[in-house]
Amino acid sequence: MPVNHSHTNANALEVRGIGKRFGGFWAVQDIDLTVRPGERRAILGPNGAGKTSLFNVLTGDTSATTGQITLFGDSVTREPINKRIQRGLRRTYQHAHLFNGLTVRDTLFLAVAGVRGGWRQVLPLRAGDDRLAEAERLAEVAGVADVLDRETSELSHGQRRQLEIGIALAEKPKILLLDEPAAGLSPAERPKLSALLMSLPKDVTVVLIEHDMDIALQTSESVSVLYNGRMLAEGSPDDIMRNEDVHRVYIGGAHGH
Amino acid sequence: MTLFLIVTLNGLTLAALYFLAASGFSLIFGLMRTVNMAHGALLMLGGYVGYSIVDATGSWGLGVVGGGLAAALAGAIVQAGVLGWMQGDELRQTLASIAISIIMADLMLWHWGGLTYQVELPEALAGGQRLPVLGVGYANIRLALMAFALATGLALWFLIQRTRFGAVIRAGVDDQDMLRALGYPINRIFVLVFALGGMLAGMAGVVAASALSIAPGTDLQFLLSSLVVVIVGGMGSIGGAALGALLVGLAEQYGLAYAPTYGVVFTFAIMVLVLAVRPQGLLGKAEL
Amino acid sequence: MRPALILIPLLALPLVLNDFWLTQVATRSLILGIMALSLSFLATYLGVVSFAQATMAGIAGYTIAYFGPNSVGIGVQLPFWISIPLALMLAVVSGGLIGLIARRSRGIYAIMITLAIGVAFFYFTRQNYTLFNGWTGFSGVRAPEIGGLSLRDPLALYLLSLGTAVLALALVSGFVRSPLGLTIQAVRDAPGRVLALGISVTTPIVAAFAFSGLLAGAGGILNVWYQERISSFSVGLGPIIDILIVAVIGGLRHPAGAFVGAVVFVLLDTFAVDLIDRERFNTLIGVVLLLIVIVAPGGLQQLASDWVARLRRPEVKEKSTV
Repeated sequence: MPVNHSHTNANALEVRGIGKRFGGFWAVQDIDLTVRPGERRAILGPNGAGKTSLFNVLTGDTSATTGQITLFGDSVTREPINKRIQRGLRRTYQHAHLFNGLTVRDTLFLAVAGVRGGWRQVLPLRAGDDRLAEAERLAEVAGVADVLDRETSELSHGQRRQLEIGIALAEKPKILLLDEPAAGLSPAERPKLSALLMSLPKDVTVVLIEHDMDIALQTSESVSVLYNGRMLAEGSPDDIMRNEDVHRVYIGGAHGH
Repeated sequence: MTLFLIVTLNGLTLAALYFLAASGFSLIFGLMRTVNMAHGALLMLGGYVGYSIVDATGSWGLGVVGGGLAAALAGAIVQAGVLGWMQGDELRQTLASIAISIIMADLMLWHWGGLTYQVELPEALAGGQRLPVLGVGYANIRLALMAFALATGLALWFLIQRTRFGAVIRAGVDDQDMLRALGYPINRIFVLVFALGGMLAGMAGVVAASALSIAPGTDLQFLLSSLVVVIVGGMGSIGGAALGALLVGLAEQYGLAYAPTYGVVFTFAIMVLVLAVRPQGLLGKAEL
Repeated sequence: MRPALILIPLLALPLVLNDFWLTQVATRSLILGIMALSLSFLATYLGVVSFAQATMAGIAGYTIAYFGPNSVGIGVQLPFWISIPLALMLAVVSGGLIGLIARRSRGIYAIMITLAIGVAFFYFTRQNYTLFNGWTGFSGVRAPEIGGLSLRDPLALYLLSLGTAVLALALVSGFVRSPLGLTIQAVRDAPGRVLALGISVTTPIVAAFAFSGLLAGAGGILNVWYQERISSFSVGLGPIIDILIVAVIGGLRHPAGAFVGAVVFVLLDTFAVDLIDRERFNTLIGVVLLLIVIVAPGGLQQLASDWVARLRRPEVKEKSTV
């Protein structure tokens, strides 16, 4: 196996001039974004700013209309989502589409099997398969171990969000894109989720979409603000707090009407 | 070269027939998302009724109209009596329409027997023409068939794109609840659409029974051609149905002429090729 | 424990049934059930209703006829231990190819495409004489003798069909627990999300169709031995609809229901002659299908379990009458 050392200094994620058009409407346009390995980055913006559209393009759920995406130094702009997953990219979805007919255990197993890939995907399951053990470990980490054999359609909203994170953590992700992981959670469930996020290994790069400015500024070392599909501002949480543009369009907009 | 010309002309005739048959199928699917598996049976019903009318009255025009009306009525009954109750449950509608098509085909076999019928043509259509330039003879009915297909296509396009009825239908495809809220009798509109689709099928049946012939199995033949035509051309698009019919009709005739025992493989190959390159059909919109 | 409760009476069945019942009802139901299982497997686990199962069964049957003893003088004789695996393999390959063609389509689109494939194959067998002997097809097809035991013997064919049915059900339940089987079910629930797990979607769809081809092929081989002939009518709209009806009666979401549906269908077919004019059997079948679709879209099993649930909890019934 050739070991590639040339990329060790590359950025985790580098985005140049990304745009996504639906018909005549640009959901995002001219986005540049650079995230260092291990960085915790929040992406802020009011509803409709293009945050989820940007994530969809980054993961390959939809293809970019313009621009280039680089993961750890390798261009992935033309790669389908399943290839990007195998490069260590993971994401959670704001609206979880889970497999209703499968159990939590099966779902996590598939997440592990999907990342590992290879011909074993088609072989029968044997007792003591290490992928099953990994699935159970993920359930433990994500806090859904007590519902391992429950079908995902029977889970509560909070449990589904936790399962989403369990899926995203399969097989040591290198970069995690979290799309409003706390949305819709009860006050009792939020601390559990925050603790889970805080416990992520320090070398994992995390990009977090968060609607709630307070949470975003607390958990992240740098912030990018999207507005109307364009990058409005970037900087440390302090910079962003002091940025007048951000105050006008985002803070003013979100709290002022 | 002459063979090629004749085969091409035959292919165009068949394409016209396939378009007539598929247009009603495609219309119903495009507007209501219903796969009407009884479409072939409606076509055959029109053909049989048309034959009986022409046999009794001697008027070909009356036969075409009567066949169309009979199938229109049958189509309306199918939608109002069975499929309308399952609106939105597409799989159930498909299965129910299959059941209806089996019952219809069996009852027609009962009434008209296993014979092969051909509708007698009026004098004006019975003869043939020597086509200028090309120099080959060609039956009048086949020319009339192409003209009929062209006229039907234009009329349909006009109905859907340019009339109030068409506008209501188009709106209903996008948002049924909205139309309902605006007070449109959507169920009655759907019955009308089914009657229209049945009318097209029934008239196609009489024309098919005149230009070719009609016998048990005709329903399946035209159900297959309609399926392939809309898969190739694009679901629910009239222009797509025309393009699909053209491709399938020509392929079938070339296949029959040049590779008689593998003819249907050509039709099949076109379908597979289109599905591989453009799964929504040549002129279809992407599936949601 | 529970399988034994069903299996022991089935094994004892030849002791109580005469040859007519054993062959015309029991064996036929098993064979039809195996073919319908190939459809209800796809419907249950991939969520696709396929009309091409008779085609896959027919390809296996034609292979046996072409490479075995027949009375039309077409084909090449091969020993059964080559022709049987070959027939199964071709059925699997045809299933996989059909899956590849229909892989991007679901719901009614998949129905339209598989029906077009099935009917096109029917016309192909009628046109082609070199491989399929046109619409007359093959007759005089004989089941092989294995170790002195002729599979044409009613008891032997019954036991073989029963064994195949049990094996097929066991295969299905094992397959759906395998990683590939789980992926197939995941594709049924959320295809886009499967891709987002890093798994290709084409592989599971093609694999599901190929596996259904194996089941259909096994049924098709038994069927050609049972009928001793095969022709375009064996792959036409009739058998396509029969398989569908059996699966629908059994409930499209219950694989084992295929066998319940097959028994009901065969009993209707065998005794319809006493109820109505034999000639109108298609009308009867059409009406039965229509009634099932209208009254119990979940099939007979669903109907039965609804009744059981109602009997156990009479208060539900009271509520519903209010």
